Amino acid sequence: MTILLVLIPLGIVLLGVAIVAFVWAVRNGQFEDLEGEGERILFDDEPSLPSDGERQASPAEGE
Amino acid sequence: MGGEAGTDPPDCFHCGLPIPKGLTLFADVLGEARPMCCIGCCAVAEMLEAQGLSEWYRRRKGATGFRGPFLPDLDDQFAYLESPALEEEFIEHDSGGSVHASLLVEGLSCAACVWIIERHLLAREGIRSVRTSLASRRVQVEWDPERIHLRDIVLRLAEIGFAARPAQPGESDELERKEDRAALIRMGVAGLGAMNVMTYSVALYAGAFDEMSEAAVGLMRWMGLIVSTPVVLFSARPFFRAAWREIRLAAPGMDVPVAIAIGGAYAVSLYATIRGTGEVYFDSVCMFTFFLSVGRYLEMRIRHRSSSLTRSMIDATPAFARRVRDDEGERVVPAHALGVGDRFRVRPGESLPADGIVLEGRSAVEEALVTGEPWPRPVTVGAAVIAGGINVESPLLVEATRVGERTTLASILALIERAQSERPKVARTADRVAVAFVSGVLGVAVFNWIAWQFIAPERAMWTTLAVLVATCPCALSLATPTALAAATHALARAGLVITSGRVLEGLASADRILFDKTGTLTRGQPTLTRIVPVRGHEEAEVLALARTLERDSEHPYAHALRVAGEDGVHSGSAEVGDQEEVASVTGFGVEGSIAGTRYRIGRPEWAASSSGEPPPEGETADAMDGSAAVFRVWILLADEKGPLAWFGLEDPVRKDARAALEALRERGFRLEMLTGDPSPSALAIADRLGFDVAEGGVTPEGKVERVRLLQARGERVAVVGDGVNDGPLMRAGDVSIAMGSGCDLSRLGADAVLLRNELALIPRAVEWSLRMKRILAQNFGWAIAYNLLVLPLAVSGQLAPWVAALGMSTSSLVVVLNSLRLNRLREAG
Repeated sequence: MTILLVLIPLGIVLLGVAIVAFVWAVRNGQFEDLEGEGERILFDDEPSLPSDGERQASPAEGE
Repeated sequence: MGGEAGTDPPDCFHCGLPIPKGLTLFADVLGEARPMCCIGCCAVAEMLEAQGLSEWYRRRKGATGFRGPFLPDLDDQFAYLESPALEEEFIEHDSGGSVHASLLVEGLSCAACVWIIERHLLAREGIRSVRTSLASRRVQVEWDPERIHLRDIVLRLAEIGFAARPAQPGESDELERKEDRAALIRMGVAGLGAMNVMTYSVALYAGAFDEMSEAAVGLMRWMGLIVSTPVVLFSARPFFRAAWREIRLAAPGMDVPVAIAIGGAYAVSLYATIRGTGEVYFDSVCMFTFFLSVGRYLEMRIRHRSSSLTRSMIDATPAFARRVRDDEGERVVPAHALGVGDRFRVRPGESLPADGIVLEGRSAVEEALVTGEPWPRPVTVGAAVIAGGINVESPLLVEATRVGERTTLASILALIERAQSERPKVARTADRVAVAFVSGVLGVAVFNWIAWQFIAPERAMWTTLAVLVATCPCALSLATPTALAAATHALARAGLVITSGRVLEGLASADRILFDKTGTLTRGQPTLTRIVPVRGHEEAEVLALARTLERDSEHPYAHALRVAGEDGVHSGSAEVGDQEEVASVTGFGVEGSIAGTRYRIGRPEWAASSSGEPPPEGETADAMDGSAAVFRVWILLADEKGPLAWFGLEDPVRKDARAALEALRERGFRLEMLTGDPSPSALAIADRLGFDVAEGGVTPEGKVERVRLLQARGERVAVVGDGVNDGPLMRAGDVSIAMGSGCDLSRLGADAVLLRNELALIPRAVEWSLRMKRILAQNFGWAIAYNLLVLPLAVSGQLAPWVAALGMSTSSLVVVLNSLRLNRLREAG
């Protein structure tokens, strides 16, 4: 039965982790649009044809 | 030309708006030639196809409802975005040298739109990130100010057919988002806590039968205490607050027994844990909190949905104004900087930032938002214009008379918002039940405590607590919100958006349903189908005259005539000369002179008062054949000498109208049609559609009076309208439903909106309303029966904590599952 003394507090720690993760997810807006995000995965993520003639291969160069 | 109207013409593939008669414009999309309504839509569709983005058409859920832009105009139209004052207002600087702004995008309706907007914007150099919120129709863009400008971004959105403008983060938006998040976190914490506490409790309950060591029992209790403390202090806080408010206002509601049960059970369990005696109720505490939070969360979601509908109206007023001052000339300033007495300029295509009086210019203003009239109204110097109206033709200089919160639009919105914040009657009924319940429970608890003082004083506290826990109105308070949410959700998926709880409770108990004709039973877009000239005139000639006379009229018939002249079929019917002293006579027609001759066009008996000539072929009554009913109206063009030509206008009845009306009649509703249209054909067709009462030539005020009269007789009246003039009617009815294509304001006044204009949804909503009533009654019955059942057990001291926990969660679950039955979109028997 002494194993309970380890396992139960461990359970509490896991509960804490779950709550923190949940709060983070809510604050991050992950529950705001339940439909759109579900469908987003269905869209082709491959960049389609270059949309502008002048578009070069350096879209993300930071500053 | 002429001939009968065919079956429904296809709508524009891009925007979904009807295609002007006779126009043939196609764009190749997804390997097929698709019909388009204008060059703008055509350009957008072709561009999407060229970029390989036409996949959007397959993914989207509905057409945009916005005509594509005419690109050459746009560049100039968006020049205002370069003003420094606006930049200050809307653009925020980030630390990394980039800037961001929030854009309000119209026509954003589904996930596919989000996809295409993000795709298209990110393909542009200089744009760093794009985040789209479907719910608030806002796009947050972050970009590099060195490389592109806000204007480029708005232009880029216009390229793919979305009208965007900078938006300030709405205050109430932000508040709601916060409220929503806080409630969600509270609910999550309570749920997670309840799950964990349950594991300890199950161990304790098992231990109560099996021998369990003192130490293990102590451990489980302390664990329960640790987990349930944040649940009570954090998740249950709103209940304590609300209960305190109710006590202070001496108006006890559901929150008082809830708070007493949660607080009492927690306090006693805390005492028991520390002292190591008695019973603990941590599991019940956490589950109460969880179930109750779920109920409150659902209630809140319904409330937010209706207020976001209102807010989309506020978005109609622009965020900037072109203020004109003698010393500084024209300057773009934020709309809120505009004061009463300031002058501002409005260019064509822009909307007005404030109410005002026209100082200079001649134009037409479209005020569909407030008046419901879809066609622009001509304005000249001295005319009053209202905020949110769109200037259509040429620039205007306006002096502001009311700004900000004082504008007509803002004050109407404020009224509506107030109406919306009222709780639905079902919720108030639940509150009344709660008050009776609370007093009963508290009475029993006090009585129980006193009685046990005589029997066994040491058990008084425990049995009293058991009474409070057992009678916590958990299931009772879940009964209404879950049923309301499930029914609302089911109907919303079918295409009926409910903005007020009144619909579901009122629809089933209505005695009579009033229908508007134009736009509700019919499509509301009359088209010119016949021209019958008399006295040897040419078709083109009389149509040209008619168009010229009706040029500035806002009436749908005038619009039909103008449109008919613009297509290829009636070529050669350009407007002739200038009309002079044109006067429109409401309800009759238009009178004016062209090149010295006086003409009248409109109702036959008015246009040619001298001649009693009947319309051609006496077609008034047999315009209906089978189910494809058509309302046909004849209007007459005449000069001083007599009639010149007859124009036959048709407005087809919606395809599902007959079946919907049939279904409603079977349910025992009395059906009534009120229309402003005085023609006998309207009444003849109403008769064939099976209306009990039909009345033509009714003014908007007359309709409201009719509703009042019926209500005075004790009838409950439901109203279905499309909102062109129906705004007041919507508010007069006990329940009101607006067509989705109607004007925005009537939609706001209405309790529900038919998104896809399917009349067949009305009998369905009735069905749902009946089912919801049944389910509510079951819920209440069950919840109260359960509480009454366990009360004797609790009073007699026989209620073990595990029985209380089990009974409470079972009764709550039964209520929730019962409500969820409403969510299934099955035709109920």
